[in-house]
Amino acid sequence: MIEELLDEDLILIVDNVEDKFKLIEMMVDKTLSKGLIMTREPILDKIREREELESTGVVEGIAIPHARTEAVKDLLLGVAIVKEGLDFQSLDGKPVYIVFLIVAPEEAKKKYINVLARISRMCRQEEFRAALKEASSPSEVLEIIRKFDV
Amino acid sequence: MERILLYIVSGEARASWDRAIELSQSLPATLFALFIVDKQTVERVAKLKGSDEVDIAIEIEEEGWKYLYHLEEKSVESGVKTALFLKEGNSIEVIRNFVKDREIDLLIVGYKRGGGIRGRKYERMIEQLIEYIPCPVLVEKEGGK
Repeated sequence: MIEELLDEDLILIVDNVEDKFKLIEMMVDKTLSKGLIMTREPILDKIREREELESTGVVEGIAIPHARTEAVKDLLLGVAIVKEGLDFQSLDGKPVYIVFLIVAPEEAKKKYINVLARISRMCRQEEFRAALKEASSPSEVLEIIRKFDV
Repeated sequence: MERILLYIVSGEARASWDRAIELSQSLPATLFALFIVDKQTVERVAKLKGSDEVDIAIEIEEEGWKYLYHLEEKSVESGVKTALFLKEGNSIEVIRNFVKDREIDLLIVGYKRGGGIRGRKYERMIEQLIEYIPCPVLVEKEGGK
């Protein structure tokens, strides 16, 4: 199911990035250049607003920034791997290496919960996290997700 | 008091949600919302239904995200800094470690009187929380005085 929402153009692999908002911008830009959204500002505003107040934790090293906004028509998913880790200002203060970005309209609530549940299930597996951290290309990331999202 | 943990057991315990949000807003404190896919519950339900444990765990986990989703909506609307967590394991053990690791100041949990084995199990869980969790525990009575 997760792989149906993703393709290589929505996956970002970087060594490092200055801060979490810059990374989120880069991820949103991927959806913009793919034509999945018309404008990025309302989406970025919503994510920033949420990130100020809320964070989602499954296991250490993973962040799942998410927002609900009518600025998107359907659920959007993006993945980023930050090789050197990133201070995501998470409540445990630990660096984040894997980021799943979820943006969805209110009416996609069921899908949103399902995607969140699937991502958290995969992320709890150490093997999955280790494989993603080592991935060197978007196609490899996609392959790993395909293997673990059962 | 800076860190409040709300242990979400089910969607019925809304009085405890409201209390946690209200307290976090007025103090102010960061609200940690935790749902646990309890291994024993998974095993028990799978046995009762004759289903696969993995399927039951998935079912419970999705239910958990649904509660966390609703809690998040309410708390963020109130301007409360909120962190959502879903973990697997033995509930008491998971909560105890969570409280220690994140230096939680107060644990809030809902309580609704229920009959039968389920009700007694729940009461036992509350007793264990009070006994084993290394921070004050606020048990919020659900559904009236």
